Amino acid sequence: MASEPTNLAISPAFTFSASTFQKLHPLEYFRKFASQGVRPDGRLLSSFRPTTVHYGVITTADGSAMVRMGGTTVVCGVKAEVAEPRLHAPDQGYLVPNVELSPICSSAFRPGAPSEQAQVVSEQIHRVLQESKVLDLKELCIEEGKAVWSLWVDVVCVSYDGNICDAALTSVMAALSNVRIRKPTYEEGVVKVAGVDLLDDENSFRLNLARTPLSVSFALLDTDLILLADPNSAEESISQGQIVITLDETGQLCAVSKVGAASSSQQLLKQCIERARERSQELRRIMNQEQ
Amino acid sequence: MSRLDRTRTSPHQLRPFFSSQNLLNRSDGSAQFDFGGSSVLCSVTGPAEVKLRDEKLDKATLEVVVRPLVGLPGVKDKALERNIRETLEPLVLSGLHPRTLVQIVVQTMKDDGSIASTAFNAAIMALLDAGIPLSSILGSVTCTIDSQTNDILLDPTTEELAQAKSTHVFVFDNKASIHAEDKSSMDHDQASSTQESSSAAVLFSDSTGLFTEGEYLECAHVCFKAAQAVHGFIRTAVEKKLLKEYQQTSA
Amino acid sequence: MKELDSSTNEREFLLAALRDGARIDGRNFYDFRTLRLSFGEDYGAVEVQLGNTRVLAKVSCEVIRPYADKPTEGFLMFNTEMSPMASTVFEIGRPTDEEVLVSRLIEKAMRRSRALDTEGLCIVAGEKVWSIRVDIHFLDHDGNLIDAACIAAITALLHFRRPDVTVVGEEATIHTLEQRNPVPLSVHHIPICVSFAFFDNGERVIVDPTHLEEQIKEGDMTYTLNVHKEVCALSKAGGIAMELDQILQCSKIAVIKVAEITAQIQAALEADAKKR
Repeated sequence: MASEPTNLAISPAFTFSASTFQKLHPLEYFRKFASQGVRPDGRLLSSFRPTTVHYGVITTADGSAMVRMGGTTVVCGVKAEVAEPRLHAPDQGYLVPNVELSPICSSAFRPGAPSEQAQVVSEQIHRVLQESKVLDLKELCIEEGKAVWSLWVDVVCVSYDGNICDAALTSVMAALSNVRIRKPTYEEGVVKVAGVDLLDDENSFRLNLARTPLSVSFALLDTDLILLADPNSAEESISQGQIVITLDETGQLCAVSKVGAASSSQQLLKQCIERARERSQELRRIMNQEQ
Repeated sequence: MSRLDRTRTSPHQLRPFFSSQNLLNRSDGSAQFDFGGSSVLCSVTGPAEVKLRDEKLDKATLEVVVRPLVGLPGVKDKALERNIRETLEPLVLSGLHPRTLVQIVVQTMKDDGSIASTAFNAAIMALLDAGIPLSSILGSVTCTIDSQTNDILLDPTTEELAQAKSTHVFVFDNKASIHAEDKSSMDHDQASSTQESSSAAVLFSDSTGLFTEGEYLECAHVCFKAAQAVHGFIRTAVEKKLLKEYQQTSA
Repeated sequence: MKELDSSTNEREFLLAALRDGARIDGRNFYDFRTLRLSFGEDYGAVEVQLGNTRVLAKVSCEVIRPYADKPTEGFLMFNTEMSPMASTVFEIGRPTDEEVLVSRLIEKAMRRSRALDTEGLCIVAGEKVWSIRVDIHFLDHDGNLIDAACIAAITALLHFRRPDVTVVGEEATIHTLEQRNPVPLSVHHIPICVSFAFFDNGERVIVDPTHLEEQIKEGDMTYTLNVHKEVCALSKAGGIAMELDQILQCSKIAVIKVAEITAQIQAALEADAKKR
């Protein structure tokens, strides 16, 4: 009995090509790379994918942005509509983020009702915008109790390759900073929005964003908690958990979440916060360059 | 310093918490967990038949359903579902029941803040009641940082949550303390250093609002200490239950 | 998950017992199981235990705009979605026939019988009305969900207090619970459901069937009455054909049961009011 395993090891009956090995044992395949400190796509464990931000990509929206993070591409459009305010908050507008992960971006998503992942990312963005007080909703008031602006912030993923959370929040913040809304006039119960073609500071206004929170995600692999910055979808599918750190431009934390995998030490969390701090600075630089 | 709920005197005080198990007849295990005026009932069914598309060949599928007290389930509940599921997944020894379903239903019964933590604690009590094999137990505590006083308030009520600058939900498993106990019998010096470094190893963390790194770590520390009380409580509950069962079978 | 049918032994035993004039939990044919009502700290939260069946009802309210064609009507909404907690046959997002029946009957019993005065929920005509929402959570299913849910819903509505409002001209001020004592809803009457199950071609009639009895029954019927002997709803959907006499006989039993249950609800509400 004891000699059997050695026999197997010597036997040359099974040899795989690298791509077959990857399909059969994705985790083991990844570990072989990780043990050498690199990832199958050539990145170091702690490096992020190249990121670009483009503003005003949708001309029909009141503000828009497109963000690419490696193979992940998201487009965010902000549409401003005049709406009636809620009765208990007559001077506050609405800010409604929504993330759509449709079959167009990956075969992992099915048509129909939004998947759990899409709902969770939408909720994360909603909470960051609300809890970190990014926008004072009173600024969206047109006439108290009668009319307010409702901002529909729609994120559509065009191509999915992991880390939708960072890409989506970056695109939302970029699109919000890109928003220009025509100045409305309110007269006797009617809101008029002038139909001018050229928007300037005279006839339109920008949103006064109190801060720009950006998130940085890490995937947690295995029980020994290997940290992977900016995971792609293959890495996400073999990871057990994730850590997401959200910071504003002053370095203040807006959200910290650690879900799944085994317990992680405070040391690890500190390390994540440190890395996130550098990365969010870099993201901000990319955002500002384009603007 | 007195708290907004007027029954507590210290910011680092939990509300009285208690739990009862085996309340429901139609599920395999159930438990209710209360933190003061907040209460969550949780039922567990399993290992049971799993739908073909959810079937995992090498382990049990975990499904969590969160039901709010008022209204239909929304995105918030979906997010909590995912948080509970992904936190419990490494704890449940799911490899022992491959191709089965373990279904956890979480129902809020009373809502006075800290619902996520109450739900986590109810879920682990229900899993224990259902006899689902676990590698460790967990304990969850929520805290907020008050916007006016900057105090860390443990186990906040709805009123305190409304005044918070930031909210922090933490879950800790009892592995860290077990390791420390094991080591202490072998080597005293080593044990103290292990305990120090692994003291606040975080199983789940969810913080929102505006806060600094220092504040976050402080919250983790305060919640970790408080979670020890929850761990102790769960342990006692399990011991009592086993004792009762033993007495019943031997009688 | 699919539900297992009761075994032949269970069925035979239950039927044999019924033919001997006994039920397997020791009740008489026309007995309800023990009814327990417990109230939460908040107004409008009631947990009902009918034997092993458990239901939680929670009433909440908010101010909303009325429909343009009914400017003085408030809203009364029920949510009876069932979760797998009560029984694994209930799946999220896929209502079973039983679930649909229960929710429709509760609608009929509570709303269509005008148990709650929805006009009394108006604050400012055409501008602001109260919307009352009753969330009914089924926690444990041991038969007769309808009666338990109905008792829970009406008790919760009776227990509920909404914030007081003062209206000056068009302006309405809503007072918090600290500022002013909240006010009860105006409930016109207390509809109570009494469910029957029939065996042996309607020869044996029992009230308040358990889950096992429901699995084996040949037919059922639910009377919704109030204490003034007014019929609010009567539901006999399918099952065996019944003689008219039997149906009238059932109504007489239901009248007695309704009086008992109403008295118990009122006693529980009074006991709770004294504690506050």
